[in-house]
Amino acid sequence: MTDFLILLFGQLMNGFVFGMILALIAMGLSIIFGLMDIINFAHGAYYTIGAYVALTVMGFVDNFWIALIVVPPALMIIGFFVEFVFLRPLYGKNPVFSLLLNFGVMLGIVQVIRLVWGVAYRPFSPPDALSGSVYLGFSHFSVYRIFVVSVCIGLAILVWLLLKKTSVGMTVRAAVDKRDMVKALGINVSAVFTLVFGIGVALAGLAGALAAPFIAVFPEMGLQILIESFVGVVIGGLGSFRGAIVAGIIVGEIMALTTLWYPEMSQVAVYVFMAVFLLTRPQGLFGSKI
Amino acid sequence: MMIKTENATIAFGGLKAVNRVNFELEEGMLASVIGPNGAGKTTFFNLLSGHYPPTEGRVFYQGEDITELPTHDRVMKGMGRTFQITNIFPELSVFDNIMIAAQRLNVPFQMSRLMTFMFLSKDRKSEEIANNILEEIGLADQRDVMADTLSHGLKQRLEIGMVLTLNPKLLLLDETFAGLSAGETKQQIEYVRKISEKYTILIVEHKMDVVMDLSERVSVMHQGELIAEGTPEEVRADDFVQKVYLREEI
Repeated sequence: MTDFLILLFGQLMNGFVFGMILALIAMGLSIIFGLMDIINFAHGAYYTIGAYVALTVMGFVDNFWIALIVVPPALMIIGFFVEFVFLRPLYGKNPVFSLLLNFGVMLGIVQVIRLVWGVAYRPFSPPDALSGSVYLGFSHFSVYRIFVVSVCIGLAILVWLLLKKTSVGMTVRAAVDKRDMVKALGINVSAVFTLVFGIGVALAGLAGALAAPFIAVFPEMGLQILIESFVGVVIGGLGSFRGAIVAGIIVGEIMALTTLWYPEMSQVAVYVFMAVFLLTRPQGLFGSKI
Repeated sequence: MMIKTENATIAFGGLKAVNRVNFELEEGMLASVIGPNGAGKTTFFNLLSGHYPPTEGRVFYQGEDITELPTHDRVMKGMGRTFQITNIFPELSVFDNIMIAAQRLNVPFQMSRLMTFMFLSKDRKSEEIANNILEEIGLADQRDVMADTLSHGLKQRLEIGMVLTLNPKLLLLDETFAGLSAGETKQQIEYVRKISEKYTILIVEHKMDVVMDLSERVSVMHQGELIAEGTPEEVRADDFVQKVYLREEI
């Protein structure tokens, strides 16, 4: 295999890993938007909290696996709290209110992180068991990145099963289309909202914890990735679960491949692609259904 | 007394869609609320079911003040309702529509349901309830059909079935005859008459002939106010009702 092909495959793999992280964030954004009509500007901040919670747990127990297990429930509780205390009073009111509130929550979280953990970049090493690399037939590839992809794929399947095959998921999907009827069937729609928001936030937090070892942890780490995830949500189709995953991978690959040929354009290329996509297929890849 | 309102009022800004309504419905009765478009019938229904909280006044169900109770809690107390625009889940099968009701989750407070990662086919108890309801509403043959493919009349029937699954004592039917053909209307009248032997029923309806034929008691609304009440004969004889609403329709 030529050097170029080795480089290309390596970069495609990198794009896939980053794309799966984006997909994890976009999944949460998409489910929250699909059910609650909320554009969650604070989602990137939950990604950041996830990374810092993992870092803190590592500081106490020095065990990556425990950190990874602690992050989703911790973030889910934060999600429950934010939804219950801040968002719930705004339901049925002008959507701009919740948009602004989430923007405020994002700014607030970043400032709290600066106060609690400081502004410095914090290194986060993968566990020893995942620190090496494996030969994939054409090139060596980081074991940790393979692990991240595996976890993301597993989570995507798990969330899909939850939405499509369980009564909880059926209730969530029903509430997307027929909120009043779901209420009329004795189901507490507010509690469904809380649960879905909590799941979305937990996914973002886990994405932050998983991404931490290949990017340094810093207070603003969630801002850039939030915008890239939104691009994924728009390309995938607002509220589409499938779309969030596919578009997340597409965005990851566009960034990785542009980096290979024209690194200066890697950030811009995604937005150009989104603009062209919106002009030609404004409903996104998979329309607007979960 | 099954349900009762005292000075119930719903104001949207300056507009009083429901204005100081005092309404009572006896247990076991089949009653209707009529009135032209904009009279406030559906808003009054939403007030009873809890979809809209009253701006003023109280709502009582079986003697209990339920004014502040959210919709889902009223449902669990035995208040079932259907909607003016059929509210079934079109992308699910007839069976799954009933199953949503049969499982009546209260997520996330019934965490055991989440923990067991319950697949629909494994929930035997709910499945049994759903099958019984399908028999009861006459849709057992169409169990696996997508709900969207049913005729309008059968969609209405399915929606009633979903509500019946929850064992209601009081059934609120919002324009359940709207959009039905003559044949379907006849079938639906028979069906409502049949289930009225088991449930207290309150209907909001436009079709006067249906209401007069079916109801034991009729209440007439006009500009958010209750202007007449009585048996169909008494309402027919009411001068104001005749003059303003029913005219030659009676």
